[in-house]
Amino acid sequence: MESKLALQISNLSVYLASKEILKNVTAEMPKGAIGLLGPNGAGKSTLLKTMMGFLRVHNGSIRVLGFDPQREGAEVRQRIGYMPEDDTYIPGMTAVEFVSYCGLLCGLPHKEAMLRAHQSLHYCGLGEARYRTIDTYSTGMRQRIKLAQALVHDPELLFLDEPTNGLDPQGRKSMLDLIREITRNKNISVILSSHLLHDVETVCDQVLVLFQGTVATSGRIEDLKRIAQAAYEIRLKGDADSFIDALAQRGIDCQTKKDNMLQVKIQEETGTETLFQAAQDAGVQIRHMAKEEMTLKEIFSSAIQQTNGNQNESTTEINQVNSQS
Amino acid sequence: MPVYEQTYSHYEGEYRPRSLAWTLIARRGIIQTWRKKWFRIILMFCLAPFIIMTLRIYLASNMELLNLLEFNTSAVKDILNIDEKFYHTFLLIQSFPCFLMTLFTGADLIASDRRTKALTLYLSKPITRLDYLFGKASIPCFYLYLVSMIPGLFLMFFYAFFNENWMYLWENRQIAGRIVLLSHVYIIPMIALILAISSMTRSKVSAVVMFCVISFVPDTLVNILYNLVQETWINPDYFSLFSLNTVNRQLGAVLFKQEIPYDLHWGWYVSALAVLVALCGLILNKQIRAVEVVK
Repeated sequence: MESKLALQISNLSVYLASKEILKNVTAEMPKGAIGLLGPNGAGKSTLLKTMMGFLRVHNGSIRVLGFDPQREGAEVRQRIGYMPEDDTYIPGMTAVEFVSYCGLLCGLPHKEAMLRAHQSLHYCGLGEARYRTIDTYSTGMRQRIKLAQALVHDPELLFLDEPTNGLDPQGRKSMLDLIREITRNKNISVILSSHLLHDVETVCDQVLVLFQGTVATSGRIEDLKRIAQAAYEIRLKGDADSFIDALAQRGIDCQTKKDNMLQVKIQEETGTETLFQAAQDAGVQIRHMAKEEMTLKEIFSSAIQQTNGNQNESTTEINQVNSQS
Repeated sequence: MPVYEQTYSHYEGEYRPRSLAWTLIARRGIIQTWRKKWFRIILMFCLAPFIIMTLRIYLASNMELLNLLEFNTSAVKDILNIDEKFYHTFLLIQSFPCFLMTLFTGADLIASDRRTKALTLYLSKPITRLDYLFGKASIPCFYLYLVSMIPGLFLMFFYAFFNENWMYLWENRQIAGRIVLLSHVYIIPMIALILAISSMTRSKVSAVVMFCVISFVPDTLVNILYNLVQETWINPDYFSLFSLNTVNRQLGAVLFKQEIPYDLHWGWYVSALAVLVALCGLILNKQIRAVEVVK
């Protein structure tokens, strides 16, 4: 039974030390490069650990590649490769011993484990340093060896927890290039957990944004960009203030940018005619209008603001109910 | 194709059964330990009593040699009497080498994995916590067998060999059984204790200190309390249950039908060991987790 979905999460709640870390998380993500995005403490690592069966599910359900990590943890871990966030290694081993040992633990026969350890180390750019003990490795090399050990047994899905942590810009770029190469050319799905938007945007085509343990938004990045408000850059001839007022009357947000440029955000279905209508009413001419490409940062910010707003609203409602009672 | 020309490719072969995963951890640990030169020296030291005992068996089997050297006095004859007491004495002597082996092979087993956060790495592979624990426990177990049960059984074999009396092994199979049992009485609680201690710390030194304290302090306390309550209504023998050393001595004496040091039923001592192992199991269950929850 091969699942087309990498992840199926339904109303998932997870508690750590009697604190609810994941609250009613629901999402479905197809195979591919998935970004798990959110600020620190959003619950990204908790979700990853729940996917591997390390944490008990308090409520709801989760399936990874069609398997339930709670009951079929070993099945899940056989099919995934995990690159932890922390500096993790087994001391006193050379890189090739370490990676082949990880392969053995995943069930590879001895000969295959050694062969694939060499291949993985070459692939991750550690070919020259493979006979050095890991204790002598730099931070960048340790990140790479963590990736090599996650790849050695040929997983279907890679869990990468903050893979660019502690890397300099050059190291970060090459690590991201490597991850992109894995997803594009090796047909291995990736779940990349990061608080760095750039990392996710570089590698992933889908995103699951978490904020304070809840899903802020999820889906294909392209779709999210399309669904989200479209932004237009506008230059006017005439009084900008009256145009802004005319837009405000139509419930459209407008901000002034540098060089007398305005940024107007409208819903996709609203259409640009409304802008021309507002310009006519204000007695100004639109001399330049260009659609701005929405960045992941803007999607992320708007999703977080929306979630935050919803949570504040519900808190206010609860407070009102409490004060009434 | 040479290795340096190969790149990453998908694996199309078979995976080994998961039930064997613990043997990989055990095998690696045993080899890693053996590679240490200082460890091999300690192991030789731990096997010194075995060599002396083998010599005793050789002399006992060659009385004419002693006659020739005019050493065949009654005192020498007593020493060279190879019976149950001889094997019991050997295992009693080996309790200290067992302690040393446990200390040197077990103290850093889990502590080092906690120090380098390797526990997460192990448990992110398709192995269970029990596989991990079995694998780790097998490392001191192997070396403890090497200094207790295996030399004990070899002594019996040597006696049969030197006397060319192979029936001796069959006729004394109960002694062999007792050697196996008493070795496990030593091995199981010691391994459980060292693993539990090792799982509670990240430092090898702390684990070594804690194991030494737990092994020796109760012994001293038992002796002090035993003498203090001699004249009171309290049965001082109950204190002997709190020291691993006295429990081992008592059970050894029971198994080999020797004079027992304390006047308590052996069931008490077996229960004390069971409680100790259960406690260690609870600690290990709490500590061996892929995720450390900081409250």
